Amino acid sequence: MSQAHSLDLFSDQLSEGPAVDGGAAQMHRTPSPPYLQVFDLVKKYGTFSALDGVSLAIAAGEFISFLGPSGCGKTTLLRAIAGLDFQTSGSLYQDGADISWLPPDQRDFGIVFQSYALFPNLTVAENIAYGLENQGTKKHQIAERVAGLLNNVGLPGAEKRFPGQLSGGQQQRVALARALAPSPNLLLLDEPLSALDARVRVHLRREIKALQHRLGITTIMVTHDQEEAMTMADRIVVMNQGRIEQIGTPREIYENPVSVFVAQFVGTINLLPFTPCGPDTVEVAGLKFRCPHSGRHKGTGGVLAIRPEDIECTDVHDHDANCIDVRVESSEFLGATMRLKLVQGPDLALIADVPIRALRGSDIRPGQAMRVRLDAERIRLFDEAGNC
Amino acid sequence: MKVSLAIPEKTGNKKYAAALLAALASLSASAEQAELTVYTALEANDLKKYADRFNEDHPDIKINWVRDSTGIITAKLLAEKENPRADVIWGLAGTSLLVLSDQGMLQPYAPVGVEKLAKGFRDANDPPAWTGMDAWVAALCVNRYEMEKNGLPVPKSWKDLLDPVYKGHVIMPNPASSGTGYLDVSSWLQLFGEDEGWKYMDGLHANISRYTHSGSKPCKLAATGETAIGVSYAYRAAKLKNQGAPLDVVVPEEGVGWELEASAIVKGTHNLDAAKKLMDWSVSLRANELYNEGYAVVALPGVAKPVAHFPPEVTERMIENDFSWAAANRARILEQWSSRYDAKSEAE
Amino acid sequence: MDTLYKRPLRAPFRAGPVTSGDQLLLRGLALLSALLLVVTILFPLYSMLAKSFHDASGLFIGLENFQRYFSEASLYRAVSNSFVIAGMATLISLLLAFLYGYGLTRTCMPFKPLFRVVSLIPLLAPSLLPAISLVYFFGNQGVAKELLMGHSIYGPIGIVLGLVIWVFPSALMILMTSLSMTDARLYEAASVLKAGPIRTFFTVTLPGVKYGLISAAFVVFTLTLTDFGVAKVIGGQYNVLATDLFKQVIGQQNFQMGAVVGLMLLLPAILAFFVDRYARRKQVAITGARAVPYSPKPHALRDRFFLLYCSLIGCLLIAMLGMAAYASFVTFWPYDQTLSLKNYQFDMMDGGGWAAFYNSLQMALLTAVFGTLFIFLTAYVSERCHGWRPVLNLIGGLTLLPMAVPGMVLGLAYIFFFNAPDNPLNGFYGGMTIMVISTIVHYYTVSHLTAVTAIKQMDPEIEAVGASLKVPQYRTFCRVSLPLCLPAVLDISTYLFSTAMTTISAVIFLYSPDTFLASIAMLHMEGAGDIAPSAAMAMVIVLTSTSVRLLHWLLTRRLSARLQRWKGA
Repeated sequence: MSQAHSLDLFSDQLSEGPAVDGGAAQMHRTPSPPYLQVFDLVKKYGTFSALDGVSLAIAAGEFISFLGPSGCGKTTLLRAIAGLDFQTSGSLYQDGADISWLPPDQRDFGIVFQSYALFPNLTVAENIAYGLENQGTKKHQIAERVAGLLNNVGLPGAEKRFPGQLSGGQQQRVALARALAPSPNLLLLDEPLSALDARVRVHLRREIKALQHRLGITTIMVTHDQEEAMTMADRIVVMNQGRIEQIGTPREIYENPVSVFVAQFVGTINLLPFTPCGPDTVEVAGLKFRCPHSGRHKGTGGVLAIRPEDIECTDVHDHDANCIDVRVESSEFLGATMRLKLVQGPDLALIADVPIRALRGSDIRPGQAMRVRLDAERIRLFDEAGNC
Repeated sequence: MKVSLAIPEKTGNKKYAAALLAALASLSASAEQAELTVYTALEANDLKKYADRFNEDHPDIKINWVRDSTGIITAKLLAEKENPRADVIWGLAGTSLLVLSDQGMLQPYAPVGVEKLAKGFRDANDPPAWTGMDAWVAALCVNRYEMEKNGLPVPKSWKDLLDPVYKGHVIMPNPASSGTGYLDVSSWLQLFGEDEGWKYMDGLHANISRYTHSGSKPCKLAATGETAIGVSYAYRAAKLKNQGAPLDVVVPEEGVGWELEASAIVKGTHNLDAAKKLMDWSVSLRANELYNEGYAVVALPGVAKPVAHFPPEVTERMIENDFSWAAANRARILEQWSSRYDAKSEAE
Repeated sequence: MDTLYKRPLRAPFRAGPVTSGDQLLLRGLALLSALLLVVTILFPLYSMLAKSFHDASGLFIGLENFQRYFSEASLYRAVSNSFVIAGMATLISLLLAFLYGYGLTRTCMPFKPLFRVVSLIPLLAPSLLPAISLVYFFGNQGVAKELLMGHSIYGPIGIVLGLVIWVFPSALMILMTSLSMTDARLYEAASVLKAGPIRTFFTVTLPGVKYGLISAAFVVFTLTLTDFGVAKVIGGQYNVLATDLFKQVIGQQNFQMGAVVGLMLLLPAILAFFVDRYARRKQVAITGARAVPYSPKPHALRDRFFLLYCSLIGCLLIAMLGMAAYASFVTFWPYDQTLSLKNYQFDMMDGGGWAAFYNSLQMALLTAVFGTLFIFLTAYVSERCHGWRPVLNLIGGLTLLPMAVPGMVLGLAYIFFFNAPDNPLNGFYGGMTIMVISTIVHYYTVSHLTAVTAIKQMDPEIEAVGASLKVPQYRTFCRVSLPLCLPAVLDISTYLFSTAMTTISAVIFLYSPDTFLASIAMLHMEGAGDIAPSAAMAMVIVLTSTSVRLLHWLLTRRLSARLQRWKGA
């Protein structure tokens, strides 16, 4: 496999690697054989299960993000894939081969850690060349390769500097170049951006995504930052308490969360307890809402979920069943939208994101009365356990 | 064989170095060197001299000294009874050798020329288990300045030391560790009788400021003025006077204890031949001349010449010493002594 | 959600983890370390424990030895003597060191670096040195004898004074750490709340260093309880446990009773060890990671007072060293005050002569080289080996244990274990090897903790990165981990070298005529009444330790320049 990648991988990316055109879209149409498969992975620390039966498949060239709160098992899963910590049970296949119990040095991957873990006593060039020297590559070839990689990560000419002399973002690029140097077929990123400040983070996000796209390298990124996952990943694996909650494209995850947990973790959402009353109708705090496309669940009650942007301002002429009269309790100006906290009686509080355009000309004051409509198409219902 | 070659630091000549190495190799191949572990209570500063003199005649035998105070060497030998590490004992109190002999730890051997030694200086058995070298005699080291400063009269006898004016001014060796200390105690018990002897020591104990580990330390402490009177032995006093210490040597008039210094082969040695050579040498004329450099009384009659600063009256005041009694009762006496006076003893 | 693919059949079946070559190497090393630690720590201590329940012929007699010990007044009196001495020495040294440390950390007095260096003087020589100096100051011929008003320096006064000087740097170092860790914001809060200096001292300063004080108290107590050198020189007729142990073992070759006394020393030391560990954990807990370091503001009166105080203590320490240095050149104290090198002719004295010094050098070098190598590797292995908890826990426990074992007890335990005729290792007995091993073990814990701290400060993923780049771990260790830990490695080797130069306690039972050491020679010369030559040997040791520390300082300075480059401007 390593022979498949020549040293000039970067100058001629299109000719190399499987599913270069990557991305989830293609994969969804014609499922190519998965590059990485995880079967029923369990990792126990004593009685605590860090991974509780995780299975998933990743296509070649995909950019996958493991998303979840801290302690959800995402890093454990990544480290199991790398072989840094062995699972308790379950198996792993990479490119068709069983790698379940192989130590890291016998697997095929490059990794970038949150801390970068650059070797502080080696120069940038020595850091990047570290994995190449071992392969018996000739000196001048290594130098060329290092220069090429530095170019690729946007740090040309930084060879002679020490990591300590670089900014956090620059160090991250060096770590990326070092991981990519031996041309691995799998790139693992463990919270690669969390140590950086906000502006650098946004910038690097795009660059990493672009680089990944260029190289077509299968990539797994662990993050707890939903925005990072949404903007970078082809597919997101949302994890909670050692289990996978949902796998899907960012849009699927956002628009059709399969559980309250996912709905809450990705984006902002209103969660209102309901009781069912009649077909396609539920009751929330004494008010009846219609929800024809709210999913399979009706049951005995649960939680109604609706995103703030799916609550629209309307007027007295709107007689839709899902219209309610509310009072503005407070407002936040967010630029393109205004976030309003709305109350109806003592039991109902809602957050609504209203486009500024829709509010032009009207002054929003606390206490002001308003009529809003909950988009029936966008309402989702979850059972009491928080699932669909 | 002892070979010490200083290799020039910068020969710059590889051939020379190679020749040198070759010569060195042939030397070490031809000279099969025997090593003897020799336990001793001789003065530390004499060890090198003793070994050098011996090596002048026997360059092929290397001596590895193990030196400590008489009591400790004795205890060590007894403790190692099952698994002896010593080959030869050269320079240990006769009493201790008698104890070891009783335990069957010595290898009887009649060194060449042993018959010439004075009668008290060899084991009565034939072949003798041990042979004597010289005798050392108790004496008081008295610091002139300290006596004057504290207004103390110079003591003439053992009994004088009981005078309360000497309280805190007397230091003596611990008989459990020091051969000199034991010869003092055993001489008092012989001179005054057991009951009187212990009574004497009870009285002396009141004046003693501390008991030292080594027999020469009281004299050295007197020499440096740390104490006014040190109960020690004549040889050490003479030596310190030579070095300019403001000492007077007093030989108490009741008589003074003395002790033989003797040598023997340890039973079970793996170097019996070399050990015999050392024993032969230890009774030789050359050896006795060597002993005489420090001791006024040596084993071979007619050898002794006067030693500088050595008090002449010593020889006539040496008591009739019953060594077999001193040896047989050593353990009992030391135990009794320890239980009576040990709290004042210095470490070691 | 995508459908999962069926398990590919061509993949071979594996039951469990395949251990990488790297981990195999680490585990091999871990096993080796654990084995060596068990043989050099656990087995000897067990032999000693066993010995105390047997009689001279090896018969099991239960507690009889202990009964005999406590039925002899002269023996057990040493227990109370030792505790009184250690308690007083601890109290005084804590008070002195606290004020000194306060001056160094909480005031703006000048010459702080100088005072720091001066405070280290007692560490440069065996504990006999302060005692020898005291003899020259307050002995019968002492220059300042009158100060004692007729009391004798030989006895409790001398022991306490000598011990206070000797443990001063140890107490100071612990207290200074704790004094400099206090959060400055607490003082800001106190001053905002209008608390006066005295109230601030009792409500902020003292609670902040409480655990430092406890920790220092117990460390110092153990040191003073188990020290041999001071009591040996200046104890006179005052019996303490350490000298008693020596008397029993060397003087009377009574090993069983020696084992009993050894346990008397070991038990309080182990107790103190646990209190110290507890206090240190608490200290770390009360000073969070976000504490703001305290920087004192000038205060004329306070600064002048502490300058005066520190100068006084500093001068006393210098005088201690200076007196011994001067006395070592005096031809025949006190009667011939001409200066000469006579006392440096060690070959004419008891105790092995100059060869002893060369032996010491050799031993210190071997200890530094092999000790650093073993300790650092073991620390690395125990931090970087995955799984294998039982072995790693064993290593963890055994590396902490030596701190709780007084040197003399260790030495004694070594006699019992290595000198046993049926022990295949008894060839080591009496040789250089066993002294090197005992010294490494004796000073193991501090070195180990230094190594662990340095290793923990490294990014834990360095090895993982190496493995992902298919570089064997030993290579990453040599190219990255070791260079990063070089300052700690230097610290450890210097520490081992200088302690090996000055140690007496463990080796006192282990030397042989071929392996006399400078510190043992000091003891012997002093024992034979040659105090000035003993002081002279101390000077040679001081000179050596000072040179090594100077070298260490120079190397560290060069190294820190390089480290600065790594860290960036």
